Amino acid sequence: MPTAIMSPELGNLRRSMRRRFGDAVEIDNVLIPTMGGSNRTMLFDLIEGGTTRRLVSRQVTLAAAESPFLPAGHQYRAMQVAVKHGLAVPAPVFEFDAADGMGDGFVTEFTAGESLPKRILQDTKFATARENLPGQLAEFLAKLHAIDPAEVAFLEPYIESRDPVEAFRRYFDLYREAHPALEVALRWLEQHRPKPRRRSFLHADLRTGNFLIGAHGLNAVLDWECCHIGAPAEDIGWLTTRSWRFGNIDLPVGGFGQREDFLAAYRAAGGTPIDAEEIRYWEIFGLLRWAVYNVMQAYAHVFSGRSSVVFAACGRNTSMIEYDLLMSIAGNYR
Amino acid sequence: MLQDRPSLPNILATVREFLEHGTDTSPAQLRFRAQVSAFLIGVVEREVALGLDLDRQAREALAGFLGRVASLDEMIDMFCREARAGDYDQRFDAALELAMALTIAKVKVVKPEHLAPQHRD
Repeated sequence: MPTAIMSPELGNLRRSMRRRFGDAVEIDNVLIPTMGGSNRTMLFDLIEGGTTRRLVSRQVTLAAAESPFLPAGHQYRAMQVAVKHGLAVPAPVFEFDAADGMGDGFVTEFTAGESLPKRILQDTKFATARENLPGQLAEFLAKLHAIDPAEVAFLEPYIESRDPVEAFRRYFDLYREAHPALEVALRWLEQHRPKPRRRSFLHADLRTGNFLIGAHGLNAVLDWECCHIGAPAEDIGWLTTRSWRFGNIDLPVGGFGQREDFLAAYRAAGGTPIDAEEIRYWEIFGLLRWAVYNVMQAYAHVFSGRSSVVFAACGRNTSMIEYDLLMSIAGNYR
Repeated sequence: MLQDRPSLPNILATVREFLEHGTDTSPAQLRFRAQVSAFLIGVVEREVALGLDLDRQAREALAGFLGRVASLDEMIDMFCREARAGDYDQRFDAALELAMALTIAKVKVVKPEHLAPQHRD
């Protein structure tokens, strides 16, 4: 259930709108739908004369020198490229600047829809959506991967664009906690790398919970803070990573679809052929990556003043992800 | 430490902080954080009950694999360092098995029902 808020931030948000849309505009109906792990999202109405426009503000809350997440400006530019190619993305409106006092962030148009995994996977009103989603997400990724990576050349310098495994080893090292399971998994990932592939523009965080759906399926893909350039199978393996099935372990595509159907739809939409072993590799990488994110949240909880029961739980939850990771490497989980 | 961050004292302090100061939020958020707090208290209960025994078993398993005896922290660090260096590449399955045993010991504290039937007590 979203919550109405009032805070000093509201004044900054109002001022940032007036700087761009004129002194007569007003904001109203401000809601925070959820508190994300690395972003703060606010929904609000921009009232201009007799018209009301629903917008979304997204601010980076995890500001670290070596954050695994893109700065807002690059998220914004990646979304602009995706929108230009007709992909289902909330339309970018503007980036905040220093004078806004809103930190690192941007504003997009609001897109209606449901993002909560439990509702997406269980609510009867989304039965048709669940049938349509594998094909729609496959088409989304096929189109995204067909974009010339030169259009997102600003993503090239990020380490994830060169070597995602090395990237997550470096992030893991930042948090200075020994994890035998993660060391074994990193070694396995280093020694089982897939053959080099054509490199594509990746969303890299497309999973259940990071897109909005309506009764007929996909409305928009959110959360562009991880995008980079890499192997298309990395995107697919993240979507099918065990953690994102939310208990529907026999439906590897986000908890609602089968890999084979997804890959067939991906190819039909113009995607390159990808074999099951390559997907498996990136699913194992996905579990490693998700474990490292949880180690990161625990580190921030203990050492960086982001203390909360939720981040404390992230730290201890790491062991369950590690268990799934090792069971997957051993071939017990698919 | 066999168990991951945060430590038991940190968990207890975090839950106390939530109970004292963190309840000024929406009913949905309050319910969610209360559920998370109950989960954390369960972790504390199980670690108090099982922690020493799990640590002892972990020390024995590590000493058997490494062929050396040291403190639990030192042996975990040693295993991690040598795994990273590729020292276990020729006996990867044994290293995987040891990492699995250490991980199972953590999951027994965090959420034992997450384990597959063959790994439950």
